[in-house]
Amino acid sequence: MRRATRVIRDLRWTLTLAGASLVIFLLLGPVPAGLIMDPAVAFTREPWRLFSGHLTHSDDAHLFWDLTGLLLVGSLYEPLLKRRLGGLLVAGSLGICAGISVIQPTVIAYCGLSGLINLIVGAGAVAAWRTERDWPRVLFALAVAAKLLVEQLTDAALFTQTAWPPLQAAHLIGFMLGVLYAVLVVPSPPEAATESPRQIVARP
Amino acid sequence: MAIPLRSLQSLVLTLALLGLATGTRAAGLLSPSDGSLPTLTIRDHQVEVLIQDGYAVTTVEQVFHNPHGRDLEATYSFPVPEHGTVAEFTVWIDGKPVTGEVLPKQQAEAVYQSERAAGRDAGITTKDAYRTFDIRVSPVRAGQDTRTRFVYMQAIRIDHGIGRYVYPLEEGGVDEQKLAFWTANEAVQDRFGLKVHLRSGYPIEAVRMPGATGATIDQLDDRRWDLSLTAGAARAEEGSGQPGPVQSGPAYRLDQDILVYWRLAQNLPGGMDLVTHKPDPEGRGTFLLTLNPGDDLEPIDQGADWIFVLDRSGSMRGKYGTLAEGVKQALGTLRADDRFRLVTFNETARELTKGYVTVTPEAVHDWADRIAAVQPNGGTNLYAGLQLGLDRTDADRPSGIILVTDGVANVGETQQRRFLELLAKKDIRLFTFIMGNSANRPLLETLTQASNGFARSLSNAEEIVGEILAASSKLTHAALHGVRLDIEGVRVSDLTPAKPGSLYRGQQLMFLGHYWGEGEARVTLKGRISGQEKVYRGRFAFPARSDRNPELERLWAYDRVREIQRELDTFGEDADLRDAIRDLGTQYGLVTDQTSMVVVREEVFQQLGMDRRNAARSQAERRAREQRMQQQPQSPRVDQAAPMFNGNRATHSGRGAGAISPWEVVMMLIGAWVILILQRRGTARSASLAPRTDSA
Repeated sequence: MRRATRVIRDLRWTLTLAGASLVIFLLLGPVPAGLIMDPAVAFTREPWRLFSGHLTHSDDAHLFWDLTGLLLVGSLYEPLLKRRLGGLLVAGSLGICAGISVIQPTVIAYCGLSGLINLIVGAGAVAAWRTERDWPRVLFALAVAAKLLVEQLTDAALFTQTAWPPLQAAHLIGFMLGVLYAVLVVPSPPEAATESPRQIVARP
Repeated sequence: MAIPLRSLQSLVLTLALLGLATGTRAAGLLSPSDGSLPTLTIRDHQVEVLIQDGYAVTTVEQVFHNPHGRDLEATYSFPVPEHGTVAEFTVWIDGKPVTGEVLPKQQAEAVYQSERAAGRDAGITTKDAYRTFDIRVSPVRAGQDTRTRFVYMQAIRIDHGIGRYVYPLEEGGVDEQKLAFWTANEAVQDRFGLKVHLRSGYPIEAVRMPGATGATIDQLDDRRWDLSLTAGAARAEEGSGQPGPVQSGPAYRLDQDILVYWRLAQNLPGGMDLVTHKPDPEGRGTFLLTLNPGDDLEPIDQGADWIFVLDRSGSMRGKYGTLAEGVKQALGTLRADDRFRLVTFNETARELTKGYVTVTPEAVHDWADRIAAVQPNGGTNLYAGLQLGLDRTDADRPSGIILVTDGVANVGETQQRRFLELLAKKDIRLFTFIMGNSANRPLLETLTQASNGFARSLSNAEEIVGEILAASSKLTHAALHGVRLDIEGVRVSDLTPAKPGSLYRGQQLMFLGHYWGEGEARVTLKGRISGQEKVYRGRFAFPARSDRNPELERLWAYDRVREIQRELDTFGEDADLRDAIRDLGTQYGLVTDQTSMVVVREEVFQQLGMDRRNAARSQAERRAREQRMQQQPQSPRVDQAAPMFNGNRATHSGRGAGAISPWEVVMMLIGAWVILILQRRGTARSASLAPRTDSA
């Protein structure tokens, strides 16, 4: 019980995102018209779409794999980012939508969590490096970055099959915004040393 | 045929950028450039647009003011809207609106001049070919105002689920004689207002008015949207909430087109829409049948030859630098198995490339620089440009010509028939991008249709995104050529267009025609895709009576006029064809190349024995519009029982999913497992170190 409570506390943002996505899908089904990110209205009359669009999905497979990816990535990096993850998600949600509108103006609708997932990976990588030189997590993020690079070079999202065509630009934008955010927000090593999760684990 | 999608995208981008560089020739009140007559002013300019059931009706009410000490004639000129014609012209005489009647052009002019000479109130609307509609009102009395209204209607097509309406205001700048003689005063001194009522039988997801600062967009429900734009003193009055004297404010200038885009809901099924007007169950009805095909045209992907034929005449001056930059980008995105040639034309044509060039980074860089070095000047020998472009085509490779022009064929061969003969020599598609409001659209559309290509009109204020999407989607998919439509079961005639040409992905097919009786009709649509015959069949019922859309009669008549005019332009002078246009114009109250609309005092109409047919028709149309505005739009689809098309309509692939794939998840799992193992080892190591520290 105590362990479950600790997991919930340590992964509160990840679980909140996953839960919200699941509830939206169960209640409203795929592609709820009032919630998907639509650049034509999201930046003017209906700003909630800038956030809700990430929580909507085009089909059940899209939801399932996004949720699985989120839970994996969240469990790896949220303990490192902790409370900073809230700010990261808010800024990242806005930034990803703005980035999509600028880089791919032909996109008229966007949905899905993968932009945020890559956002967490990008920020987590910086946090892992800065806090305790956590090489496995950094290497994990570098592998993700390599995949993003290949996607950009080949102009195609790798491996993805969804009802809506994958938007690989969202992955790259999310990752880069995550890196940028963490560089600005996560403290440098001397300050961070007192907050290392590993030290917290070792303390008792 | 394989198509260089990105090239086209860049080209369209170029066109849009060209628009930004265009001068500010505009709609407005004309006065002689030599200053021989004083300038009148536009005090008020109010526009109201109803877009519904596949067509738009635009009503423009204006007040001209004469600040001088003597009576003067007002001449207001505005660009011919795409496929639109003036159907009502009203002048307020003694405070009452008097609607005009249509007469043969010379006769209308004589009536107007006679009244003008007598000092009596009169007005006339004439058409200057494909360039402008010109409205004259006399007299605008010294120190007083004159109120006028004109109404025009035009078919509105949906492409890839996107609707587009343009209120044309920019003059294209290609009629040098007119531009030299007249100066346009495009400033609206007091109030400018535009209201657009968008009513759709299908849900609308989003509406935009790009570039219209201060526009408001209200969604009444998912099928009814209202848009408004006000400027000048009108806004100040609204803010005060009090009617009162007009306050001074910045003058609105009628120098930029106003665009409205709307996007229908995704995943709409293909199908047939029907709108009818048949006030007398025993009489003849008019219908507008719109076919929205399902998305079943296959994508194509193979190397192609591309010939860019670029207008470098004098009217392109000031725009050419941007054009060169755009073509550079276009060339840079061609595929390795594509080839290109570059042809420019003004009074003569010149091929820059001297043959096909294989796409390499060096070649693209080199030729882009050479395009940029060209200096635009001279007239427009379009024939020579096309002739050179068609030269040396390779029969073994699919080829396409991308023609970009903002002007008219005014040098060398200018006969439409010669152009058609030229194109008939080669099996090649012509894709034309028509810039601005004054290009010779009829000629260019005829050529592209004859070659089974397509023409896109671009406003100078055009946003590029929609054009990129629409054009690229068409060029990357097969097309249905040689389209034919047959309707059986109900007597139908006068179908326009008689030769629909080709259907590209995302396009609608719109047919206007007449029918008698009622009941079920069987529809067959045939065409060829890559040489294979394709047939679609459907059924629907014609109603016995309907009176919601009286404008359909004029829309049919104007479609017919355009077809006859095309024949005239192709085959030359023909008295019968000319008479046919004149008769249609006078019968249906349309301003055409053969007819004008004249307004005189009511008693003069009586003296002249002129039937007030157009006044009655206009009033009936106005009543119908008011009713339609109040009613909830209904779905116009009529083939639910026997759908003609399978699948949903084509839309832009502009939807994107932020999606993690199963493979990514598997790799993440492996990565997380590795991290967990390493972390456990690290923790165990720390734990094993801790007691030693304690014991020490």
